Amino acid sequence: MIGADASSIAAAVKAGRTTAQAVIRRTLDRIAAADGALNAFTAVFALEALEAASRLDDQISRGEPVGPLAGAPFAVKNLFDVEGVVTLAGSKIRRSAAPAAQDASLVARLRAAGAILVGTLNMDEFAYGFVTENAHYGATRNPHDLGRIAGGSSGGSAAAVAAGLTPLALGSDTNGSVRVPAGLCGVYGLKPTAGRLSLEGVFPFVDSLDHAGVFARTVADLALAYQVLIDPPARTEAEPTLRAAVLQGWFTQGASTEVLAALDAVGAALDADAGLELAGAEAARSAAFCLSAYEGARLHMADIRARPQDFDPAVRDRLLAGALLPDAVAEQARRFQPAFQHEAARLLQRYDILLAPVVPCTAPRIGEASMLIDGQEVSVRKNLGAYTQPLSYIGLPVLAAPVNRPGKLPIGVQIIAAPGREDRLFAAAARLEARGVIAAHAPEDIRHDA
Amino acid sequence: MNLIDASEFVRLEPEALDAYFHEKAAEIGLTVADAYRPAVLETLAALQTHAAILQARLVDVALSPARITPP
Repeated sequence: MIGADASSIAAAVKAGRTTAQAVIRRTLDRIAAADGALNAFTAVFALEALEAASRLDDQISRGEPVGPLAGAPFAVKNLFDVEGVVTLAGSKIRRSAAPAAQDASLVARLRAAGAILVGTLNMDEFAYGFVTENAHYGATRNPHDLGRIAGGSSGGSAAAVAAGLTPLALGSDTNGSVRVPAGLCGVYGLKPTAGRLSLEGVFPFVDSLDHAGVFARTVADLALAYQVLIDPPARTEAEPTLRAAVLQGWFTQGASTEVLAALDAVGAALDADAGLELAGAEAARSAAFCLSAYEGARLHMADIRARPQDFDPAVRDRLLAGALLPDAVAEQARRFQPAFQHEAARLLQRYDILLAPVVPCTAPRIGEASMLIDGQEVSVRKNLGAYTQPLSYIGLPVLAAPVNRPGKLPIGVQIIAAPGREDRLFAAAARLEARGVIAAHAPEDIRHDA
Repeated sequence: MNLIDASEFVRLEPEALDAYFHEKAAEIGLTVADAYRPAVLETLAALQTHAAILQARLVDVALSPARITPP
């Protein structure tokens, strides 16, 4: 069952074809074998997971009802509170914080549905980054090429799911931190409409832009997890025909030819119109950039005054600069939101689904400051969020889907809908998956000596 | 300096941005070690560029009043 999807695991456990304990033992074995190379996990809760599995097996043997994710292993980005565990948020600074008194709301919901928590996952410090090259906990490696980044900031979450260590993982997305690693690791990542998933017990980054999200290897698992995570239940009846369009302009500027080809393939499969522009996308991205630095700095002001040396240098520099940003710039960044929402709403009245790349390129190499995109040298850290930031800035629901490219480095496409219309995201993704246009592939055997 | 408006900020030339950096850091009680200063200043300059892009768009929006009201 290792590498199996959550739905299949739950069905097998409920039917008595396997036990939750057997699933968890094999999951722990797989993590032990593979995570030395990947560095996706920051903690593994072996004993607790086996105890939870034993309790679930007892429930099943007594004929008691169990949840829709019975026995499915999951892990969480280490900014989600887990009762009794210190929420590190990828930092050294929080090592001395008190352990969480209770689970984050989304962790509790997954556990209540029968899923079993096996560990916490690596991330960029305080979720401020797109690379998961963490100065304190090391880089998380991409399961498809261990010399490359997994993306960030939820890099551990994407890598764990892509490598088949867990079928589900939780992450967070402020500027693209679910979608970027999902795209680079070749898995599905959902960032629902702003406010649809609870942030209770999630360490914040930018209050006005933070979203929770989830990773999976199939559309069905992603939809099942979303139904478990959301309250009240989501609408599930998308229209039989979806009107789709491919975003160009800002959303294809600087993209490599293979990214553009992958986007075209997805657009063609949905009979999408081409050539659509979302006016103001560049300014929206800039607004998100400024807001993140400004709000992030204010959240951490006491520590950047008192102990700047304890931050990851890449994060420290941005927080210090953000602290120096005039209040008036942040006010302008907030003021632009309604105007940009209006632009997006105009397009989403004409189209049910919009499509855009996740990132301009395949996964860059670990440690690389710049990368070549079609012969042009550009900064890695500055460019990975270019296509994701405008969309989270206005809270649109987005599903990052892996384009079907077996044997090649993953490329992801963003499927975008109007606020509250996650049903359209799932409908479009299910159609693309059924036609073989998108698919999450198991990576080649992970080298354990890397 | 805290009340510098966005238009003034985006127009600061490199030397003036450097002066702003020092004054603002002193005003908010932030010590920026010499070792960090070049990277922080570079990041502040990048934020200045983003602020300029945003401000230019806001001017466009202001010239199209119909666009600032959400549907």
